[in-house]
Amino acid sequence: MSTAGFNSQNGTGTGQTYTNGPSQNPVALQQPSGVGYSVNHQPAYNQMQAKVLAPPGPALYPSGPYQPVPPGPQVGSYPPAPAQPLLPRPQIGVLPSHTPPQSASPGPGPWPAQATPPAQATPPPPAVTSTGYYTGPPAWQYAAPRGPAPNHVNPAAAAPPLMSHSSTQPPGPGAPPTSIHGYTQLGDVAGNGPQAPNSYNHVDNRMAGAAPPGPPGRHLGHYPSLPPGYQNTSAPPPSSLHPALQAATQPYTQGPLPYQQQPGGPGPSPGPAPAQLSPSMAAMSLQSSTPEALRVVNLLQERNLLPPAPVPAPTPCLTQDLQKLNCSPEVFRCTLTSIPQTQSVLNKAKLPLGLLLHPFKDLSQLPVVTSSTIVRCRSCRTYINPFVSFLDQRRWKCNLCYRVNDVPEEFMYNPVSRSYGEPHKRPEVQNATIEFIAPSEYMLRPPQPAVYLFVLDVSHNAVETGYLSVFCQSLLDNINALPGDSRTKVGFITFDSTIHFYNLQEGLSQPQMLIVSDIEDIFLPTPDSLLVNLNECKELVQDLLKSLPNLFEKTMETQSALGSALQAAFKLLSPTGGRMSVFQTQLPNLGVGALQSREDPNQRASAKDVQHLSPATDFYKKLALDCSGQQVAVDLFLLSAQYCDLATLGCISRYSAGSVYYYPSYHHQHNPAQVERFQRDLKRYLTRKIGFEAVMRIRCTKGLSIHTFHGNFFVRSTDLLSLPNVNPDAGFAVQMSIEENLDDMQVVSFQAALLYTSSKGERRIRVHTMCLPVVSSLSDVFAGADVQAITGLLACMAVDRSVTSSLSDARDAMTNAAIDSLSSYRQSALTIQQPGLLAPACLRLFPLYILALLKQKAFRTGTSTRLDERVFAMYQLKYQPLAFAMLMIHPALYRLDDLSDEGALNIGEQTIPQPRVLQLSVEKLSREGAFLLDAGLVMYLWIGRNCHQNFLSQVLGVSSYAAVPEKLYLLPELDTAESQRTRAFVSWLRDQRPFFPSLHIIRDESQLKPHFLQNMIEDRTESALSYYEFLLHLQQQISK
Amino acid sequence: MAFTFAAFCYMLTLVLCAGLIFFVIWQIIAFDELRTDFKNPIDQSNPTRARERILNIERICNLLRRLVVPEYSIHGLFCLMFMCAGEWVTLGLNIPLLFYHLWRFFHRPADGSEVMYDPVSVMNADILNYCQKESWCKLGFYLLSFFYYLYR
Repeated sequence: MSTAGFNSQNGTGTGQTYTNGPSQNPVALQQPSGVGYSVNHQPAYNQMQAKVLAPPGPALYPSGPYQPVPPGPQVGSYPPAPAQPLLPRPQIGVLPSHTPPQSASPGPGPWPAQATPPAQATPPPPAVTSTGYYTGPPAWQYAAPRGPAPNHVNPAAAAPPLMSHSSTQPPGPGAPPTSIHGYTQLGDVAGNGPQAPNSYNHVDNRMAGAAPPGPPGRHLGHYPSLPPGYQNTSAPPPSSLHPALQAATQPYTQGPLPYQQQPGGPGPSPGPAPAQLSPSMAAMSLQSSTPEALRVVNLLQERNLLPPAPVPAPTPCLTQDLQKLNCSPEVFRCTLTSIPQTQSVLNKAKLPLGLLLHPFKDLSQLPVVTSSTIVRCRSCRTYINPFVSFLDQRRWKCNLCYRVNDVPEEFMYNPVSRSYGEPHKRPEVQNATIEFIAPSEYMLRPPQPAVYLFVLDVSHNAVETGYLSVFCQSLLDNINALPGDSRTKVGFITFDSTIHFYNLQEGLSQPQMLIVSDIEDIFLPTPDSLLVNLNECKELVQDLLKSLPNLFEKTMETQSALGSALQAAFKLLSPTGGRMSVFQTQLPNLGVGALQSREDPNQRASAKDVQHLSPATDFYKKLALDCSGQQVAVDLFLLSAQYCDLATLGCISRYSAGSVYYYPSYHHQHNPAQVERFQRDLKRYLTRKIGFEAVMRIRCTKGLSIHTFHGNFFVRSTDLLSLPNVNPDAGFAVQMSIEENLDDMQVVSFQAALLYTSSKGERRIRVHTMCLPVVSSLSDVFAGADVQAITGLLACMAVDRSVTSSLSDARDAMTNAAIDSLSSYRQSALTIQQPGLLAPACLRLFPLYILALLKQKAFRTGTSTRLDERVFAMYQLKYQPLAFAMLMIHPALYRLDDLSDEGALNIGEQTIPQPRVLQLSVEKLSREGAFLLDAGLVMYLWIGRNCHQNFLSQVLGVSSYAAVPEKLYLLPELDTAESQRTRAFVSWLRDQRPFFPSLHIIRDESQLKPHFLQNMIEDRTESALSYYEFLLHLQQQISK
Repeated sequence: MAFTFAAFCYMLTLVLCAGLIFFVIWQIIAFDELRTDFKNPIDQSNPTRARERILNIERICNLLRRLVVPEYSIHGLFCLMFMCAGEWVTLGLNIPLLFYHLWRFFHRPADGSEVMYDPVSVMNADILNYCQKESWCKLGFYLLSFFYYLYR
């Protein structure tokens, strides 16, 4: 594998398999001693963050994560990547990369502070109604704290004394550089083999060999072990800071900081003298203890708000000890990293409170524990986790319900140190993300085998698109890589106006097709031989896959009885459960579940309300519920040029926890970009990990309550999601409210537990726990706001709103979310009033993201958008994990014609250049350059008219601009440094995500240019405001 | 005169009101049933119980939905009768609820066939809480109006 990170397990990489087995486990047996058992995912995480090294510009770049190092020419002082290619940086234990970005980086040159002045004829500003997402106090609010629960969560007790400090440290600088690489490689290998269940020994080995040779946490030493701000208000200033700021406070002593020179006022130059500071900054510096996250930013005057590298997640305000144990923000993220004490504070802040999860993410490091007893709280059933407190050796106190529990005898023995009486050092208490292999009491029926059923549309329309041969070839190639064991079963159903079953029973010389034409009352012709064991009948299956594309070559049948085919498939799968993959190319128009076209093409660009976002019939929803009950998940692949009513068809996946893939205008000849995307996605889809008959439960500390879920699943009880299948690419979001005051608590915890059957037939539980501080003041709440998570959650809420109410309602609500929170910040958290649109630094990107949402395909009006594409965009916003959803909301723009190795990332033998992220404005484009726009599912490489000859010939392999072909989807593999750099960068971007973005290389006059320009969200379009106009609109509403 | 039609109205509404009270009590029980899952968490997460549970939710939602129209129409009938009988005060007391019912009926999710109590969303705690509170408030209202009609 090329990339050692998280995302390396991407199906687009080398042909590696994703088995469900405890693949990560045996890895430890052979790993180099330098890598500790508890090195969670940080290495990969940090590697990603190393991007920040990129900026080649002046050293003044306040490249967020590296605050502890004094500014200046220090950029070069990082472990020079080329020398130690695979070495995680030593600060890993501290996770410095989570520090909020030090905003408003001065650009390479002074930009005019004044943006485009408001144009004369501005489009009408979004109407403002009083609809907000959070109105009124909650129904159940208790004024007084209930329950005796005094606060015993003092940090010392909550975090078990970190005796294993050294062993939890990631490899110090002296660790063998092979560490990460070795891990993944071994993981790949080990993933296929049978797994030794005795994990204790593995744990043993891991922990025993864990002590890093290097000095533990070199950089830790720099950090004064500060008590968290919430705990000690009378402490000297640094300790009362938001820890996001601790990073900042530290360099204070070392020298001037880049951001200290940031003007809050009009000064556009990168480094004004203190005398030039605006009044607000002067005032701020008087207060001197204002956290960086709360630094006041006047959005109307500071233009370059976008950090040069992807925005990192903020670090919660916790003690170092707790934070080190905390769950990775890639898995578990909260919109407010400081939880307000009461609902009234939350209401005042006008920010949504919720969690964003990616629970089944492919992890490169995952501790797996086998134990006959899984220690859980007796009253709330919380799994023991790093944030519980041990009262003494025999008793622990649950951090969610505060019940005191006994430590079972077995738990007293610590397999890691082989010592007795140290329960706080067990892996369960050392890792916020852990997987248990469940004992037999977690299953009442034997774990289900992996069962895959493929339901293929073979009508004339489908054969025309030519998807069938791609599918069959892809499945043939990956048939051995399907996750499963010796019990794996497969089956096939094809349908047009009739349903075709395939008898694949062992002993037949060739597959036998059985046609059922009675689609009104569907039955299974030979129920036993339609789903067959893959290992026993592999040859028949291969035969079938080879002949299938030819079988229907001449079909003239245009009708599609999807509903009946789904019913048949459901009947076939219901005894076992499993996964149903449905490929559909047109609107179902026969039998049950037949639909009519509801889209009026003339209304696509209308600025009025968009109709038909909700399902036309509840047939698919009901079927999905039936599927969910029988542990069947339906994944929908929609390949169609015409309207297919995804809003209705999508229900089948949405409520059965499947996934939806959409390939508009798919055609094997006319649209090679889509074909490649389909191929790559299929490969990932077929080979990725899968969990069957899963349930996920999200628990939180007493007083908080979860009330709304977003994603694909069925809500089975108020905190339990039913997931017939769970896949590593699914994200979830939940909204929460505060029902009881959290007065006497310093921290609250959240736990997501995912119980699933692996494809190897093991019952497993993956548990993630996150701990967050509780704060009482409004400004602390603002300081902890995570702008990306807020945007992600707002997007989910807006999708719901547009379905239940209307699109314009949802758009208003999003605008109001920005207005409300900024005006509340102005009224309540700001001490000094000044003109302008003021935002705390941590929320400085909020209006930009809201504007991006308003211009996103899902919510835009006035721009021609097909209904299916809009609905698909909505599905994606709810389904994608935050990192990818953010790309779809706010794409990244890079300049590619001047890539250099400066600050590049080294992964394996490859050098990956790291250009800085540019603002999404045409102003940033130049005719002399080539720019890559990365919008998640699609990438555009725009070639300027006067692009450097060098780039054209060395990267694109053409002689002149005019010679760039009209339709180009591939970067030619040229043997030049420029070409290698560009391809390395593009493939690195692709490798990080589980789906395959297609690349379109476009010239200035290309017909795809409008699509490219639609992503320039800071610019004004005919129907939407520019960023500056939007800010003015916000300001106007706020000062009203 | 006042004795004949108005008295008849009150007698009829008294009976029907008792019926409404039973409806609402049934609703409250139904929501409670929705809220309580299997007590044993191991049962809860067991796949074989999943089907039972989903069927249960669907069944309850179906019943709930079937009761919506009768309840609303009975209450509409009250208003109509009081209007005919010229009992303006009583009508005035009932008008707010009538409007609430109309709003609830026509302002439901735009989701075609489903009226309310959609099995896929009813388990979201905010919706469930809302429905439960609504039923309790209605219970109070019907009880009060029952005694009001009784002592007229």
